[in-house]
Amino acid sequence: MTSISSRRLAKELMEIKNEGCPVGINLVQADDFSTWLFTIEVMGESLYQNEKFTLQFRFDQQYPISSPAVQFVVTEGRQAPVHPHVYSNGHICASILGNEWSPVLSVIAVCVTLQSMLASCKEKHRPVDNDRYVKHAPENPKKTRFHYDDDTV
Amino acid sequence: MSEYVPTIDDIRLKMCYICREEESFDEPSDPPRAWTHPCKCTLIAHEACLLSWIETAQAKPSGRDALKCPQCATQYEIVHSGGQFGFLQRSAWRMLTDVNIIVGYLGKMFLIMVPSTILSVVGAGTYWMLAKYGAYSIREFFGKEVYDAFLTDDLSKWPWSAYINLPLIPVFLVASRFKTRFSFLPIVSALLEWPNLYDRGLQSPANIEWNTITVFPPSPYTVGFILLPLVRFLYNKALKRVTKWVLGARIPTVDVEDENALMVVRLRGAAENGEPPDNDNADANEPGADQAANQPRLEEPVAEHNPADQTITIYASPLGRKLAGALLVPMIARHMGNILFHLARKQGVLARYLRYILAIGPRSAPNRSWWDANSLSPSSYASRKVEPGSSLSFGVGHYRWNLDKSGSTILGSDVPWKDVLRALWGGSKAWAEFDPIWWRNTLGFGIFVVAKDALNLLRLWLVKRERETRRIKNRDFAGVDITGLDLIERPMD
Repeated sequence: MTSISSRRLAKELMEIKNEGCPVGINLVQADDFSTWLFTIEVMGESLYQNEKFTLQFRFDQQYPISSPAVQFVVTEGRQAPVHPHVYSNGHICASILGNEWSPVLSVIAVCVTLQSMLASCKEKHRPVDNDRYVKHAPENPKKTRFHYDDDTV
Repeated sequence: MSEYVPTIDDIRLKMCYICREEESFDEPSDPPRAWTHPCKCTLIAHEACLLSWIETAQAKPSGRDALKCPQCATQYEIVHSGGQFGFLQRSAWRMLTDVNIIVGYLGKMFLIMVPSTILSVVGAGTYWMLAKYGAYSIREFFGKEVYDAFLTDDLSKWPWSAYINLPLIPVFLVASRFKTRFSFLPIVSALLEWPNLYDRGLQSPANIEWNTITVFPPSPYTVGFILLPLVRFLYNKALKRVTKWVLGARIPTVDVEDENALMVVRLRGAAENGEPPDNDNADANEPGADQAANQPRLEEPVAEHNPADQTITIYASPLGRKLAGALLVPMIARHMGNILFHLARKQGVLARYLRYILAIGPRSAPNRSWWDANSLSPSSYASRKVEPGSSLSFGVGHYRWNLDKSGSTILGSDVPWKDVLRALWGGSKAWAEFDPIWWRNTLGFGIFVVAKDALNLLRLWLVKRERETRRIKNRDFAGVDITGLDLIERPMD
């Protein structure tokens, strides 16, 4: 009996294959229902012009009831974007990945939201507590209790 | 005409926004699944999916009491069977949920507390053991008198610094066996103890004039700070020389590949590296810190490994020996001190010189072991006659050189340095009134170390001799079948 997560992910994957990804977002790898990889770029004039980042999604058995674990990939020479809500280890502080997650969202929706988060960035800098966080960060970003206070970025 | 208000059952193709499954109007699922349209927008879902989502969301502590539609933010209304819940039932439910959360936290705390309690018990036990060892070593090394004056068996009389210093004693003893850089650690203890000592000195009951504070025997401070590093350094140098001369090897080595070996002595080799055999030169500071000085020297590692070198490999457990050796220092020192004491109490010229060196007076007593503390009192040894005209005047409790006569001329008149030096060298008043057991213990231990190293060298030398003169015994071919052998023609004489 396939779980709710695999059925839902199968549907999402089919939708991606049929309708394609939005501009700037590309599916890199979706071999199983546990880890997916996307690349995202910010289109048009932005601070991140010509920069391509790799996004990793990890799903558990309770998706979409539970949110996916999303982070930028920083291995093999890839870097996380310099953004006030993105830590240098790739973890993202975004409300939709935390307490504002809802099953109405989808993988593509998360990608688009993150893309617009990058696009609307006014100033490229790391989060204030970046070094401290990265030193003690858990492997899974869902384990971190993020404090969502800055809505302007 | 009545208004036609469509309901959820009128939708042709329903798709649950949670599981994204579709159900067509003309192909209902089997078994039928309940659908719900709980809000003002067009999102619909399976009732089961939505309930599961609400359950998960409410379990999270992130302010999820307000359950609403993600798209239109309409509040979901939860209906329990049997109509609306009464206020009583609702509040009971809320209270019980809160209690559950609290109990959950308590469970987590318990899980943390148990191992930490165990750890703290272990820690306290270790601390107590170390402190007891420290007290024991003080007693052994300094003698019962000093022990009673400064510490006593009664824990309540210990000064606060004792609680810090005593457990550190075994730690320092062991640490000093490993690396020279640890040897400065006891100074910390010594410094901690100094103000304490000064207070004791002020309270000292004996009438001791500052002028006649002893220069000899030196106080533990002097011994520890000045003599100890100096003597150790010189001794190690001398030992190196002697080892080289005896064995033809510079320093015994530790063979990195042979785990069981304690020492591998490479003879006639190019160079060696590693640790010398156990090398102690023990000395003592004041009640704060005993220290077995040891200096394992690590030479530069040699690039080439000459296989033609002969090696003597000694197998032992290095760590155990180090530890045991370090911890036995006070006991060994005490025994040696006692031996010296008994030697000094005999008749004869040698014994008399020994007495001078050791500054043994009528009040001296052999350092009894810890368990027969109450056996002999010092007064029973007070029968020795004092030679008149000796440069050391043996008073009751005073072992003095009259510094007034000789000291001032050495140091110049009225130099305030005098007092400083006296304080440093002779120690505070507190030390002067005690039988200098620590001094003879130190000397005794020094003798022990020298003897031990000498014996060790002897052993290594004997082994080397044996190796050098080894031969394999030759046999003739009597009894062997010689038909297979190709023999030369022996000229018959």
